[in-house]
Amino acid sequence: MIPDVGALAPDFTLVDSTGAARTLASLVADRSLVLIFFRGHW
Amino acid sequence: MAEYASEYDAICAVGGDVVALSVDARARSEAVRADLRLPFPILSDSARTVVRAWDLHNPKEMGGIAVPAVFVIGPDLRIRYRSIDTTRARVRIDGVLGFLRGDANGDSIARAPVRAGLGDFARAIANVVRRGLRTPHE
Repeated sequence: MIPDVGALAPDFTLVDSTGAARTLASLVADRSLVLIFFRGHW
Repeated sequence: MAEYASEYDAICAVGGDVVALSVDARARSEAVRADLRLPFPILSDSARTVVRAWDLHNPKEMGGIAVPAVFVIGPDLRIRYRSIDTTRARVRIDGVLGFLRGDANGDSIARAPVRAGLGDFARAIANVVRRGLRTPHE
């Protein structure tokens, strides 16, 4: 099920395009994070 | 995504930040970031772990790609807003910015048709020439 408004966002760890490991929690920190899922390059 | 680059300073000014995620391999994501001069990171979910966990995996296209979607996640890690989009209509950046400012509630944010321009097609062709088509096992 796609996480809905009010739910806790499932945390994850992924590498970014520079190779650095990032967790969702570290990206959010103390801000509001806009997380964009996109199709990728054409 | 270019519109999020254009509005990145405004998003940061209201206490927000941006990160993008696709199933592209890291090198392809870095090329996209450089091409579009994105001031925020792109995460590489090439194993499709996160898109599956978030139920945003579209297995019918190009070996499995992400369903386009935008979430706003608060400091408490709770989802404050979500828009599950399509290839034809996406949530408008000004609506997301208004939500971050507190000017709009999530239900009132409009989606706008996606209109690919000549520049988008030219970039797509150039990407295929330079980097090849995505493969299912990438």
